[in-house]
Amino acid sequence: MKLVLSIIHDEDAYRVMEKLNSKGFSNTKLCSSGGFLRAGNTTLLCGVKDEDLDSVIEIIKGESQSRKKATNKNTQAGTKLPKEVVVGGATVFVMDVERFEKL
Amino acid sequence: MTVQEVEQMKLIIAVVNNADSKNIIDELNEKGFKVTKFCSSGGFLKVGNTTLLTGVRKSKVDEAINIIKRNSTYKSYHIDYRKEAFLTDGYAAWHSYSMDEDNLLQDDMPASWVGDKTSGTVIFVINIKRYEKVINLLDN
Repeated sequence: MKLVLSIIHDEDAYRVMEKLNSKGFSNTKLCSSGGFLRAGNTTLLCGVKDEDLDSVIEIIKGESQSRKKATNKNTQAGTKLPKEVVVGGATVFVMDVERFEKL
Repeated sequence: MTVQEVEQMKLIIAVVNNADSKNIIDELNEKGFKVTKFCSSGGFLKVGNTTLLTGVRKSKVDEAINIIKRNSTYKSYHIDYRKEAFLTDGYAAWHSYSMDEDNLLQDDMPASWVGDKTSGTVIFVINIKRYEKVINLLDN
C-alpha cells in the first residue's frame, strides 16, 4: 500500500479527480496554497495498492499541465518588470503506508 | 526526547467525516495527542470531510487508531442521482447524467439516504524519518 500525495494546479484538479474516480481510485482533496506565488493549488491524497501505483501516477501526469505565469517577485531590485515563471505541472510524493484502515 | 524515541514516531493521516471530527479531536486531545485539522473534500461525492494529521509514538499508534475507530460513527450518507446512475450503469452514464443540465434541475426527485454503509473513515500510518517539535519559550 502506498500513499500518493500530489500537488496539482487548481485548474487540473477536476480532470485529475474525474479520471481517478473513473478508474476506481478514491481520493481526498485538500485546499492548499503554494509558497512562492501564494496562489491556491490542490493537494490530493490517494491510497493505492503497490501494483496500481504506476497507473495513478500516469493519470496525474497525463492530466496536469504546466502553465506560464507573470510575476514580479524575485525580480532585480529597482525594476518592476514582471518575469515569467512556469507554474503547474504536478509534484508527486509517494510514501510507504505502514498500516491502512478503511472503516 | 532521545534519538531512539524520535525514530519511532509515526504520522497518522485520517480522513474522517465532518460529523465525527469534533468527537475524534476532542478525545485525541484528551489523551494528549496533538492534532492538525484540514478541511478537505472527497473525490467522488465532492462532499466536505476532515483530514487529521497527528504525529504519535509507535507505541501509541494503536491507541490513536482505536480512538478514531470508536468515534467513526457516522454511517449514512447522501447519494446523489449522478452516483446512482454511476452505480447502475457505470461511469459513462454518470458522466452523461452530469453533463445534462435538465438532470441537475430536478429538485423534486427524492433524495436517497443509504444507511449502515461504511463511515468513510480512512487511516494511513506512515513512517517518519525525523520528527522535531519546536518549542521556543520566551526567557523573561
